Amino acid sequence: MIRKLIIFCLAGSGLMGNSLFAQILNNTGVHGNFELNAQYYDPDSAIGAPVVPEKMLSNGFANILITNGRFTAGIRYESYLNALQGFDPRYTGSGITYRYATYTSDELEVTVGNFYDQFGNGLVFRSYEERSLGYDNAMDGIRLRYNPLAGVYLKGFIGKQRSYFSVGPGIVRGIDGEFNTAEIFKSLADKKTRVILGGSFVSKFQKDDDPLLNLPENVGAYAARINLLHGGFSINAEYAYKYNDPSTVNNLIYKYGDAIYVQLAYAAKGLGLTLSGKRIDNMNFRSDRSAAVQDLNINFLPALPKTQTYRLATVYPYATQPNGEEGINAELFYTFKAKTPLGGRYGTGISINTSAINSIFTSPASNDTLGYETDYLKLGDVTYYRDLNVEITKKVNQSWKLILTYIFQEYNKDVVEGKPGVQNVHAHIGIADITYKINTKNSIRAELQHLATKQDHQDWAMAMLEYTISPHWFFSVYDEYNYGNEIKDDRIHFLNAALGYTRKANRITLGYGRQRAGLLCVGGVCRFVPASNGVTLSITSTF
Amino acid sequence: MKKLIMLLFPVAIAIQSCDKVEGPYGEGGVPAPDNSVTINTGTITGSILDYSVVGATESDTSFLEAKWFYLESGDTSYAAIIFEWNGVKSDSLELSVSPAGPVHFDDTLSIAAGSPYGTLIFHYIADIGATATGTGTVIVTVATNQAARTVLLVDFTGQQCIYCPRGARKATELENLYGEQLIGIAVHAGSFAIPATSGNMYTYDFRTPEATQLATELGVQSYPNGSINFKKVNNNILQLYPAWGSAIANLLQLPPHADITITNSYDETARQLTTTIKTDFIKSLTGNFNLAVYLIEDNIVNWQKDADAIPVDNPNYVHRHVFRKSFNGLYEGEFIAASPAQNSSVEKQYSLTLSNEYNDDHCEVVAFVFYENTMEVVQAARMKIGN
Repeated sequence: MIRKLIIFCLAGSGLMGNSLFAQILNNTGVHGNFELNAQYYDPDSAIGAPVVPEKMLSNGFANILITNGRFTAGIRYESYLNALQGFDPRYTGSGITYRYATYTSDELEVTVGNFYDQFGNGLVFRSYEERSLGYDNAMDGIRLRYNPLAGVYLKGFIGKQRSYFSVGPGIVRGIDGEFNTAEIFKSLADKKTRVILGGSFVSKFQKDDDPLLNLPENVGAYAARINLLHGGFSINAEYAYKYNDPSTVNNLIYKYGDAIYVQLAYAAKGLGLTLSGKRIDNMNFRSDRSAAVQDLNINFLPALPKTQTYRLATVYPYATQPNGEEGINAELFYTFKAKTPLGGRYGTGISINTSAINSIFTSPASNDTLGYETDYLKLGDVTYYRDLNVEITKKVNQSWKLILTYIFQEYNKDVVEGKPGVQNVHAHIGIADITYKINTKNSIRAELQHLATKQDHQDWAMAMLEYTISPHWFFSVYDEYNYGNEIKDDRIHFLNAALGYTRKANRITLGYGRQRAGLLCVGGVCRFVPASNGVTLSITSTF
Repeated sequence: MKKLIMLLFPVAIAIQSCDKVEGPYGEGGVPAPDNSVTINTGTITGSILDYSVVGATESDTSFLEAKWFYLESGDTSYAAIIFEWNGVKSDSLELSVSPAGPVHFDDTLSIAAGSPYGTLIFHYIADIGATATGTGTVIVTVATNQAARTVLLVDFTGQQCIYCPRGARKATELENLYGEQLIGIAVHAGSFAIPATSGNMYTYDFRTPEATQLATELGVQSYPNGSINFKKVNNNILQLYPAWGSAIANLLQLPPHADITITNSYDETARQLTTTIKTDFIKSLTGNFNLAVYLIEDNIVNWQKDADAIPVDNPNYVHRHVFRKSFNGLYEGEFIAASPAQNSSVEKQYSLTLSNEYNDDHCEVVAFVFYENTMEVVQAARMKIGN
């Protein structure tokens, strides 16, 4: 419809001849999506939900993409009137925040405007968005991708980063090369072992007019990586180094930074095994040295712990500490075959995932401005995070399906939330996720969750019931109850209810309930996300 | 092979564009060049305009001299100059023009020489030809009774914010550098400023309704945070502490548009304070202007969490410049002028009774004039209540 409308307008304006008009009509595709999240807020002193003067807040955006052969262009319109609680108020307003055009000419691809991209694992450069968190560090500039030879992939860019409705003060430029040996050398094409090598260099420029400090205006970072594949085995390793970069997050020290990330994986039918390790030292890298929290990150430091989705498993979410951490993660998937004692009639899946993250070892530096010295061979003695996740997935029969989960978490509230003197939280979480399929159209899903801890706010319980009438309707209600809180007045129910309707490419969800408060601390700056209570409306649509 | 050579070209450009800075810089400003440096006593080209001194404790007549000046001529004409006043150097002015031609300097500099000389602010204009070989001179004498630009630094903080002392320490460093030209206020607000309801730590409530309103108005969500003259930098009205210095330095290079004089009358027995604020508009300005007058208290000793202290809970932390009260009860003060004419004046008087919990020896009046619509501060001043 939109495509026809655009073409109709162009034709009506007399700018095109009829034959050209028809040709464009046939070759042009218009796609996009829309999302609106709105909330009506009720003040709620019991949970500390503040008064919202506007009473209703909303975040909305629409992407519109036009493709024609080797040409692609798109825009995103965003509207925050005003931004939902928990989002940075600098998002207030409306406008086109993302626009770009890309064309491909033989081996060269050119993009002007905004773009997202990543070098390797992102240790020196990753530009991406996560709208639900209000995170967006889109680049605004020029990007080239060049494929001069088979197996040789080059990327280069220069630009500034998005900062809410503006761009940050720093200029970022980078170049990346990736070399796939099996594609470059024909003699290696049929080998079982494949090697992909890569290297990146990224630098930022920000003017120094500080009256007290002499700050580096150009800060460079480089990385080298290897990806080795051999049958079901794979190794993905990357090392990154950053030159001295005094900033808010590292408290203006002049020490270099570095990071190493290694992931070993093995996959076979019914079995998956992954072992990951990383060490990060002073690797906060932003295009504004005074930026913090989620602003203007140039790089991305991958998180090792399992990403949690069940609600009580997200009470203590670990956040990567860019100033320094080291840790490992191991993950095992195994499916017991059907028609075996453990597999039963339909098979049984089990996954075990465990992480351990500590501080890095540090000792005083010879020079105060360097902050500290480290030793790669010594382990830091501060526990940042531990977890163990055991999940069993079992289809009992045609009607019943079970997912049973046990999670242990040890969480350093001091480091992650900037609350010194607070004991590490030791939490034991049990979750039963039960689905009963009544018939082909109707199903019920229930979640029963319990979190037990002697620290922080003590014990929580949660129950959720969801009824789905395929393919259009769902209803859900859940209650989180901090029943074990030592402070009686804080034994609060967080009751929520929602209903949703989906038809073709459109989905509407209406909800009502309370949301917990949260605190986000990243390297020296802490941001409080207030609790809220009220009616929520979410609409998504694609075309 | 041709393609591989082409590939090397962007790689070389990328690496060339990056300074691989090793370690911190040394003290001082831009290092002197290795050649073409000439120090002499001729007459400097150009003019010294709009010079003024602030913070001097006694009348002074001093020389301003071009400490070194050089010019290189070739395809690119390049010149640099550093001034020195009472033994303290300015930042360097550096310019290049390609192809070679006259270099046009037009910039405002400040030199903070400290007591008793204060800070000299001056505007330097010059066109220096490409064939000049260098000159430097003794130029100008200065008097100490002229107004100078001042800047307001608002530090949003909280006693249970462990990183907030980093902001406070940066504010102190900048106050040491800029003296009376920098007016600091610590605004305790947000979740980190909520006092503890039990125990004996963090039970004191530093918050005031005006402070909370100010933090809400500016959208402060993360701590520490700050604002310099409530002026947007890179579209942000809030800046984290590493950005404060450059924002202040840039503002202090501007000539003053207003001068504020505070006269306090304090009855110690009744703890009654009357303050008179006279605002002189040095230039004609467009827009509506408000005057806000705050009482602040310096050097309050109380608990503070401090990430860089051992232990982090410090019962003897010295809280600087704590925002206590707005004289009219509103953070935004009151309207005083619409598009004021050059050399016009507005005088306002306010009174309040000091709470017994305030140490009157440490109390000061802070006044600032700002644009009503943007909140951008034009000028600020402070004065102890006992004068």
